[in-house]
Formats: sequence, structure tokens, C-alpha cells
Amino acid sequence: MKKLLLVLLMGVSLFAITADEIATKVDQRDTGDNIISTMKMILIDKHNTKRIREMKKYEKNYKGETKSAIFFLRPADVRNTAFLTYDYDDASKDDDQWLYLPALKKSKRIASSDKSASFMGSDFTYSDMTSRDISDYNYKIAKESKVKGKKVWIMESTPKTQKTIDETSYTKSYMFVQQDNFVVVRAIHVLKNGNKKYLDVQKLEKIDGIYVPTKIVMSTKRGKQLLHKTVLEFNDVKLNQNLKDSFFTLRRLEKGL
Amino acid sequence: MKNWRLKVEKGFENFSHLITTHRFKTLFLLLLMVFALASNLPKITVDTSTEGFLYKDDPQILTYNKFREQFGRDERIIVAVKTKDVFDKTFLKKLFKLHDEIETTLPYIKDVDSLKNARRTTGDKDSLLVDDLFVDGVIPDDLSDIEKYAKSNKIYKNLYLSEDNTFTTIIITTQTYTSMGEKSSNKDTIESEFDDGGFDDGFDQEIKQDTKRPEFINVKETNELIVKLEGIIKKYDSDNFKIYDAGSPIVTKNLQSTLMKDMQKFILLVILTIAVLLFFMFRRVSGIILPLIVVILTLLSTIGSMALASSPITALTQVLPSLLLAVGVGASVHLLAMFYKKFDEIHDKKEAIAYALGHSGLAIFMTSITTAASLSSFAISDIAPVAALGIFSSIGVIIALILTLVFVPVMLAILPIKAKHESKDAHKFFDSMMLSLANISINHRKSVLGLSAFVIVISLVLGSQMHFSHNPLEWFKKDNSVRINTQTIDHELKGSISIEVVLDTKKENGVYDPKFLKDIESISKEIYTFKGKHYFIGKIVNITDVLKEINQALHANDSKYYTIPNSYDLISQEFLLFENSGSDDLEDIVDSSFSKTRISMKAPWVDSVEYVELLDQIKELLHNKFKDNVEISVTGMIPILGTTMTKSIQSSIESYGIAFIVIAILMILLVGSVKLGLLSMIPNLTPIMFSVAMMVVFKLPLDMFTILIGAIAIGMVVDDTIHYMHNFKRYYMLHKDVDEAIKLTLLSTGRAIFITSIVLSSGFFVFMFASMNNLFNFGLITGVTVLVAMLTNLVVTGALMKTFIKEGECLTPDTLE
Repeated sequence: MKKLLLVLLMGVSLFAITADEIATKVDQRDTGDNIISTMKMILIDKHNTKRIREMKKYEKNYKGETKSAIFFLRPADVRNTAFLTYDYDDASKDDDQWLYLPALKKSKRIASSDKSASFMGSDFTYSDMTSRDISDYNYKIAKESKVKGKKVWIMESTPKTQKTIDETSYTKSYMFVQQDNFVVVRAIHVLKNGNKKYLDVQKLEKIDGIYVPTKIVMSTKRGKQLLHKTVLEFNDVKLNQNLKDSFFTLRRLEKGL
Repeated sequence: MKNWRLKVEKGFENFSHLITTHRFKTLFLLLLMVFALASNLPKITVDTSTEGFLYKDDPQILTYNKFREQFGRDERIIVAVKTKDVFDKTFLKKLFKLHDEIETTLPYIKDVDSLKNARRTTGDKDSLLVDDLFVDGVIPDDLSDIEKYAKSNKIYKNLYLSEDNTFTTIIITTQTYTSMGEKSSNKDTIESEFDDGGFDDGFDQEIKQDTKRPEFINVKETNELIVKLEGIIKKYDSDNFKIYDAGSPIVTKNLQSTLMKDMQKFILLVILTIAVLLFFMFRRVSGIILPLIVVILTLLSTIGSMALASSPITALTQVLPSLLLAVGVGASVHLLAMFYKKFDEIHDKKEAIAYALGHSGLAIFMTSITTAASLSSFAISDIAPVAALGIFSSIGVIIALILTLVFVPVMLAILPIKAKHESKDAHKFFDSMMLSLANISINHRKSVLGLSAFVIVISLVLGSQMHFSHNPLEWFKKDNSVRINTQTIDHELKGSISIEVVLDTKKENGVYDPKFLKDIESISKEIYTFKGKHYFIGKIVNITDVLKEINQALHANDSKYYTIPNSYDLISQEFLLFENSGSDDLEDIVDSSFSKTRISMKAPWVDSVEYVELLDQIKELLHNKFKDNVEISVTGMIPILGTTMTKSIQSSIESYGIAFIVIAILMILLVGSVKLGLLSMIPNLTPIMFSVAMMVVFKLPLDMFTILIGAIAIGMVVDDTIHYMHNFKRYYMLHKDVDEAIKLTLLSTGRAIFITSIVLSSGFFVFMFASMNNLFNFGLITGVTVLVAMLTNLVVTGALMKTFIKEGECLTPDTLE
């Protein structure tokens, strides 16, 4: 009994910072604004067949929402296909999304309530691509460890409600938060169907004083079996580009790059 | 040469002395052998799956595995619900509750689909909506819009909704791979992955394919799921909510449970029958106990060796226990009969044992070898369970032989047995019966042979009208719920099993090609027109359905645009849009690089004979359409059933050929004359031909089971001939008189032939208590064949001898010995 108490006390003293504090710090970390980047997405299936998509991405933060425009560069048959997304911080409000199909010369609003849907056919979901609302989760420090020589907290986050589980399809997540910069460098997500998703930041660059993950791998596995994997690379990342509001409109979308 | 028989007899006598002297050591070693094999029993598995009929390396199975690796399992479980009006709110509420309960409580499921989450793609002037038919599972107050959409949706028809809208379905797709050996996603396993566990395949490394391929989901897991499902169904089934479940997993599961129940019943019944017959034959405790112990130990060792070889119990190998029990008892009956006779005479146990072994040893050995030889002819079968039946039944016969020759003498030596004075009365009835049979073969030989020839000719004519059949569903009785449910769903929703076609364009994005897509559309249209006596194609799902749906939605829902776009770019953009719309439905129809696509066809469960014809038609159409540009593979449950059938016929013909040739050669060697050896095959061929005629007349199907009868029966009934010829020769050489030899033969060996035939046929007749039709037929026909063979051996053999051995012909020891 005494021993147990001692261990508990030591545990508390080891983690001088609380789990909620870490979560807040992660959430509040400056991730940049007015960003232009070239996004390369490599989709790899279980037979190791690769498909490559390249997109130009523009992103700007507004109060209560983030607007982004994505234009396809490659493959050629979908060049200039474009998505415009208004992502609202309020999780209860569905995102607005429009799509422009050059072959049809038409843009359409796409309505879907499903946040756990795949982002552009990748292992990332829409909810992976946007920041999560930290008040939806309970946090706990599961362990302290090291990733590539850097100290991390392994944070266990559990959704508070079934609704959040349904939206993200994650029943539990483990975030590996690097202690010196509060960047989530790895994560394990446990899915409703028993599969697991492994996020690994393979390249972290400091651009204009801000940490930007520029190569992220997300693998979906069932047991030890790899089902699918996506490599997301960001090149020519430029921050603070002073993007005009008119950039995030349908008219701009239809104009193409 | 002429003394080899005497030498063998002497050898058996010496062997007898050896084992009876060291009886306890011998018994210990023997039991050790039995125990070593039987100890594997707990490892025995059961496999009644449709694909379990084919070998794991059969090309059809390899294609099927490739398909499953790409698109997941095609065998779905269909839960159909009948009601007056599907779009009644109370009904829908209950349906969704059932859907949720299935989704949350069943293990090993990948997807659960019903109207609740059916894909709805709609559009208007400037928006596109891809969502579930009931968004978030909420039933709106006004259902008219949803009802209109659902009733007009071409994909829903016969998938989620019957044509008259009184049936709706919940379709369960199981996991593709087994979960065994995989720990649940609890914290312990997660923590073990904190230190690089799950991040081992960095981008620069090639994906490491596990050296061990993952196993597909197994029958045990699927059955666990079905048992839970049946529990849920029971709770919901009610008047205006009548539930039918179908799909090949359900058929497989019910085959298995019926099989296990029946098998225990058969074993018990055969043991009981044998015990009763042994009682009438010997009226001695040892005479009942010893043969029974022999067959039971045989059974344990044989099933044990199946477990050791990881050969599962299947729909076919379930006949093995009763087969072994019936076949295995014969040898000990012959040995004991000889022993008791001598023992009662000389009152010296050890000598009596030696005498019995010396006199019957060779015959027992030969009869066991012929039985094992004919059974082992199945080992070459392309149908895995048939081959297993061949291998393990012949192993069983050999084990029974060893036990009879060693265990029985040793036990006789150990057990206290008293000599009896046999009453002659018991034999009187038999003797007069045998004498009249002898007279028939002597005096009416022409009629006897004429009748035989008539049976053979008639059977050859009738045999040509025989039709092969393979339909596991019809193995169930007409009132069986699996059969009724499947037939109901087949009727109302146009099918419950599938043909899967995979078209591989062999190039990335090959599926985007408008011409290719239009070809798929046109062949699908044509395949819908294929109809047979019972089959039809109820539903075809292919990639163009998704594309046309989205094209229409993008054009403000104008049904004019329910077409395949002509532009390659537009097609690729529409697919990109669909991929991004939140639906993962594409995963099930196309591979990730859009080079392969799948066409799923649903058809009713009918006899596989019809499938063979249907599949040929489909394959021809596909090849004509796509030539060599596209790699075509046709797989799924229906092609597996079809292949099983064709292979079953081919293999059985080969097995028959081998069995007949091997046995003819053995008979020639045994009799020492080509002429007599071949003639002795006639009494054994006649009963088999008789059964052929019987099957045609009574419209019994020639299926995977009944086709085995010939090769099983020939090996067993030829034993009668061996005993007959053995004795006939002896008496003929002694008296040089055919008539006398026939009479003496029947008087001496007729009784044993009679008793063993009764035991054997009873062993097969018990299958008539089976819950399944296929086994009923198998038991009935084999039983009749054995009885007819008894008659032909007792009568026709004599008539043949009378006809073909000229009076006074000197059968030299060389020809007969």
C-alpha cells in the first residue's frame, strides 16, 4: 500500500503539467495563417500500388472559421478540379464545401454531414484535417516517452460523447506531444470498427518561426496488417501571404490556377 | 507356388502363438498406438463451407482468394423482413432498431446496410448531396420524398426493396480476415506500440508484406456471428415483421450443426444395430464386446489421425464413422465365428485362437485390402472432402485390420471364455435357405444369368438418362427453415448468392475509359436476359451504377443524364468527386488505382448443373466483348459450386476406373485365373448397375454422395466373392463336382456372408434417419446395393461357376491356387 502511494506521488510529481494544460497548449500553438503550399498526396494500397495526387492549397483563418481552396494539379485528367471549404470552429455546424468540375464547367455545393469521411480518398478524414474542439474530449497523460530522441507526452484522449465518436469514428486517440514545442508528432487512433490509424510526422520544419509538419504519414491497419497508407507532403510552404478574401469565392474557384 | 497359402496360414498360426504368449505386452503396445492417434481428437475441426469442397490450391479457390483480398468477402448474410408497407413509420422504427442492434452487438462485421444508411445521391441546380437515405437515422415526419426516391432507385431494387415493396433487407458483410490471434484493441496492446510498434513502415521503406499471409475469416467465427444474429432475430420476429435470413454463410452454418447432430445419432444407431446383430449371431458377451471395441478404437484412431493431419470433418467425411463401424466389424465377425466353432470343439483356447487366425487370417487380410484399395481410389479426387474420405476410410480399414488380427486374439487369450455346446437348430433355417439358393444357381443358372444380364443392360440404358446434381440447399428437407428462407428470399428479392466478375484493364485509371464502361453496361444488360429452367440473374451491381447516379445528380437530377459521360476527364472528375463525397462505396467495386473493377451478379440458389450452363454463357459473352484487352476472372459462390460439380463428376469417373481395375487385378491374383477373376466381378457389378436403375426409376439424384456408392460398395461386396471363391475352390478340388462345391460353399460360408451383409447394410440404412436428404439417399441406395450384392454373390457366382467350369474340368492347383 505504501509503495503504491509512493508510486502515485512520484507519478504526479513527474508530470508537473496537467493533461488539460497540454491539450490547451497544443490547441493554442500558432500554426500559421495565410498559407500557400503545394500538397502532394501519395495513396498506397495493401498491394503497394501507389497513386499520386498533387494540389495547390490556400488557407486563411477568419474568426470562427477557416477557409481553404484546393486546386488539383495532377493527375492531368482532374487538373483544375477544385474544392472550396469553409470549416466552422463550431463543431455542431456542418462545413460548407463547393466543388468545381472543369469538364462540366460547373461548381456545385456538396452537402455531407459526414466528418469521418475520407479526405480526397486518403487515410486522413476531414476531421483529421481540421483542428479538434478540445472541450469534446477528456485528456490523460498515459506515459512519457521519446520520439526520435525528443521527449514526448503520450496523451490519451477519450471523446466525451457518442456523438463525437460518431463524427470522428475514433473511440480513443493517443497523441504524442513533443514537450519542447507542443507539436503532435505521432498519434494512434482506435477506430470504431477495431482498425487503428497511425499518424507519423516524418518531417517537421520551422518556417518563419512556426513549426510546420511537412511530411505526414497516416497508415490504417487491422492488427498488424496494413490496409492502406497515405503520405502527405507539403512543399513550397509560404506563410503570411496576405491572401485576399476574394480568393475564397466560387468565382475564383471556377477561374482555375 | 501351390504351397504359399499353406505357408501363410502357418505364418498366421505362429503369429497367433507369439502374440498370445506376450499378450499383455502386445495389448499395451496396441493401446499405446491407439492412444497416440486418439489423443489428437480434441484438435478436430469442422468445415462445411461451400469453398471447402475444393482444395486450397485449386485454381478456382486461388482466383476467389485474390478476389477476397481485393474486394472483401462476397458471401453476405441477408436478413429480409416482410411487412405490409415498408414505409410505415412504426415498421421503419423497428427496422432501424434491428439494424442498430445488429451493428452494435454482432462480432466480426464489416458493414451493415439497409434502407437506413443506403446511399442517396441527389442534386439540384447548384448543389449535390450524397448522404444516407435517412440522415443520422432520423425518420422524418413526411416520408413521401424518401419513399418516392427509394421506390424509383434502380440500385435499391431487389437489393433493399422487393419489387412490390413488401420486403426490405438488412445486409451484413463480415470481416474478410480472421480475428483469431489478434488481441482486442485494449490498452495493453496499444502501450506495446508506443515505442515504434505501429510506425515501423516509414515511407522510404517498402511495405513489408507479412511473411505469413493473413487467414480469411473462418467458419467458426461466422457461425458465432450467426448464432448471435439468430438470437436477435427471434426477439424481433413478429406478425407484421416476419424475418427471413439467407445467404451461403447461413447454409454453411446449418449444414454444420445438422451434421454434428446427425453424426452422433448415426454412430449410436450403428453401434446399437451391430450389438443386436452380434447378439443374435454369437449369443456371447465376448462376441458382442470385442467387435464393438475393435470398431470403436478404429473410429477413435481414424478421427484422431484426421485431426493430426488437420483434415476437417466435412459434409462428406461425416459418413466415415458409420462406414468404418459397419466395414470394420466384418473381419472380427469372421475371426470370432471360426474361433468359437473350434473352441467349442476342442476346448483349448490358445489352439482355437491359432486355428481361427490361421484359417481366416488370409481371407480377412485380403478382404480388408480390397476394401481399402477401392476406398483409396477416392484419394485422387479433386474434391477435397472426397479425397479425405478416401484416404481416411482406407486408413481406418487398415487400422481395423490390425486391431482384428492383434487385439481380438490377445483379448480372447486374456478374457475368461467358456466353451458352449452349439445347438444345431439355429443353423437349420439357414442351411435350408442356403440349400435352396444353391439349387437356384445350379438348376436355373440360365435364368439367373439372364436376369443379371437384363439388369446390366437395362441399367446401361437408364444410366444414360442420369443427371448429375449438386445443390447443398436441397440436402435440407423441404420444410427446413434454411431452405424455406432461402427460397423465399430468392423468390422475393431475386437471389441470395453471387457470381463475381473482375475485369482487370491492367493500367492505372483504365476504368475511366468511356468505351470500357459502356461495354460493362451493355453486357450487364445482356446478362439480365440469361434465363434457365430455374435460374435467372436477379441483380447486377457494377461501377456504372455509381457513375450514372452521380452524373444524373450533377445535372440537376435530370433522369436524361442517368448515363455514362462520353468524356474521359468528366468521368475521372466525377469519380474524384464521389471519392470525396463521404461515401466509401467505391472500395467495394473498384481497386484504388482504378485498374480493376467488379461486376456482382445475384442469382437464386439452384442446382449447380444449371450454373455450369450459365457460367459458360457469361464467360463467352465476356470474352467476345473484351477479347484480350482485359483480364477476366469469374469467381464467387456460384462458380465455386459449379467447379465443385464438374470436378466431382470427373474425379468420380476416374475413381471408379481405378477401383474396378485394382479390384479386378486383386481378384485375378487371388483366384489365380484371369477368366475366373473377371467372371467374379459380375456378381459385384450387377448390384451397382441395379442401383443405377433404381436411382433413375425413383428419381434419386446422382450427387456428390450417391456417386460415391459404386466405388464404396464394390470394395465391400467383393469381400463376399472372395469368401465364396475361396471355399468353392476348396470344395471343387476335393469333390471335382461343381454342384456339390456350390452347395458346400453356401452351407459353410453363406451364413457369414449373410450376417456381414446385414451388418453392412444396416450401417448404411441408419443414414435414412438423417435430417438431410442427401444422406438419406446415400444410405438407402448403398444399403440396397449391399443387400443385392449379397444375393448376387450367393446366387450369381454359383450360376457362373456352373456355366463356365466344364463338368470334370481339371482346375489345376496353378489356376486355382
